[in-house]
Amino acid sequence: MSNQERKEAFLSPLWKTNPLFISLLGMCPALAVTKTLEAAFGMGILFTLVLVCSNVLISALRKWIPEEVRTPSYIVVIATFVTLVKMFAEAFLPELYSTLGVFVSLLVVNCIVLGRAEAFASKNGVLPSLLDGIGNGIGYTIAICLIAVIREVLGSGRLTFGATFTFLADLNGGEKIRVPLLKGEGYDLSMSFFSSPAGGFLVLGIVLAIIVAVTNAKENKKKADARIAAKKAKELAAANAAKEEAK
Amino acid sequence: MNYLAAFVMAIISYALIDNVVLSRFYGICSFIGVGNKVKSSLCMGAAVAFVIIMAAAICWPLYNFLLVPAGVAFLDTIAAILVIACLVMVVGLVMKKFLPALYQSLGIYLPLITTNCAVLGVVSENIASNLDFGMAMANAVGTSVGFALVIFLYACIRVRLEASSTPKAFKGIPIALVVASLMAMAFMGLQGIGA
Amino acid sequence: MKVNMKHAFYVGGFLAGLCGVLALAIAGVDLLTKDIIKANKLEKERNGLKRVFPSGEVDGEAVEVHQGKLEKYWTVKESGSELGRIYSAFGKNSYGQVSLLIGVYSDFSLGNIVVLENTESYGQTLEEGYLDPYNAAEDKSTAVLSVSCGATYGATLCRDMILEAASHYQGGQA
Repeated sequence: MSNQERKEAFLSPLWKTNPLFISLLGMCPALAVTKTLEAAFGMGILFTLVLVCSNVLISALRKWIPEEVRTPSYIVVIATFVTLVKMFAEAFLPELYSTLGVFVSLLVVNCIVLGRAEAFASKNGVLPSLLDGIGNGIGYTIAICLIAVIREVLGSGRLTFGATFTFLADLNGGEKIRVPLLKGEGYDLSMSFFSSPAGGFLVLGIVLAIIVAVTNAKENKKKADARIAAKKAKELAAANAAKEEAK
Repeated sequence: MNYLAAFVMAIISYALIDNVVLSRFYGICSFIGVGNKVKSSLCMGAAVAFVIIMAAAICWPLYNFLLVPAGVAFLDTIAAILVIACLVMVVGLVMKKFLPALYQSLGIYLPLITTNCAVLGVVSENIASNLDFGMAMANAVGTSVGFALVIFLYACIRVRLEASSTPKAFKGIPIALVVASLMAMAFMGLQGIGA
Repeated sequence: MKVNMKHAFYVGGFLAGLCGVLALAIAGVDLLTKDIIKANKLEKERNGLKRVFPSGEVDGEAVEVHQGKLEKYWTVKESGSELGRIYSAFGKNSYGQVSLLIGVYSDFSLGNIVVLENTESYGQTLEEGYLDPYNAAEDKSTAVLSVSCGATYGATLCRDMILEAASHYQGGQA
């Protein structure tokens, strides 16, 4: 695999083939843990860890895994890493662990992890799989953090840091850091609807629609540019031909 | 009697108030994927219900009488996913043998029940929340009913949706999510029952 | 269809080997993290005790109660005199279980509450949505009774635990 392809494996999932926004995978956590930015970011970290580890191990074992039991083997590998990540999270980030609840276990059945194992790690070497895992992990984290920022700001009116990552609160002298945006002294424009499940569906739906609209607009513009360029070239050719004739 | 009342109440609340798709966010992939034919949505609901109830009924004793006494409670996720994968295979084989037409129409969605978060979600929830067997089964039954109900309703809406003209950018998944949002809002009205 | 025995053994052996290695890895990490998790829980309880009565100091060991939803209590003193008690309570409903530390002043008025454990997986709003307004309220006895507004099962459970703690303290003194 060339350097260019390796770079592509890492960079394209960040936006161009983003697992959530473009491939439309992994919607359950994208709705369930995006009530607050911190929870979404924590989920993104755990997700990236699981994805990278399972991608690496599966690509390392890809020559030995028998074809008949491919999927069960992948699931066992993924479930193991989820269990390991769960234990580390419970030990070192207990607040995050209790915020995410069963959604850490549910990483086992996350379509992205299994999908990358099937589509990429089973066909490529260890290094590209590692890059692919990191790229998809970061891409997914960016996507869920975007949803979470919208939901937290609209839903609670402010961004809160230190509730899940308690060390941030410790740095601030034991107090949670609250960034007032829509809610502050004397005004409150927050709509708790956006913290509710219904609000989650709505935000994700509208964000996806905006992305589709932007992509369509870009494509249309490209097409229009191409058309204009073609037209101009034609006119130029016609003018040249006219000039020739006049001579 | 008191326990029976709590059991029924739990089923209702798991099915309607804390609906599996609309407020616990499990099984959204299959909710959006399968939901365009009313009949296959019902079959999907039934298949998922079977797997959820069986998985909950097998995993609860497996966890409490085998894994915990053996001191390997941390293997819960792996054990659960293996049980679910086996169950899905059994459902697939039985359907292929006795209901081949249905097997054809469900197609690729059948193996995907393994990765339907609703199934693992219910089992993990039963373990994490330390529910007793009755409540664990109430969770399984309520969740199955809720899942079948929601994908059936969604399929009915989807039939109308395809006949109407949606904005270009919203076609497909985005409008499906907006519909889900409206359904969730309707289900929000049920909050507070029995509390 | 002829079954290739050698291949079947390979498949079986591979799966067994994979599962064995992975189970060992999990067991190893479990040994590593078990003590940390336990220490975390104790630490959380200690921090919780401090947060219930920030001005007081826990005096002596916990007294076991095991009555209803209550498990044990600590006596809290401030500059020598009894400030109140902190009850550790544990309750369960069809969604899961909740452990609380409940502060009750020596005049039986209610103090702050801290959540130690909450396994109601979609009751994540318990602390932010219900207990934060409670802890911020001036008059806690009306705050605890007004949970019927927007009540969830978790909130009702907490209310029961709080009232039980208060009445236990009162009953013991009378």
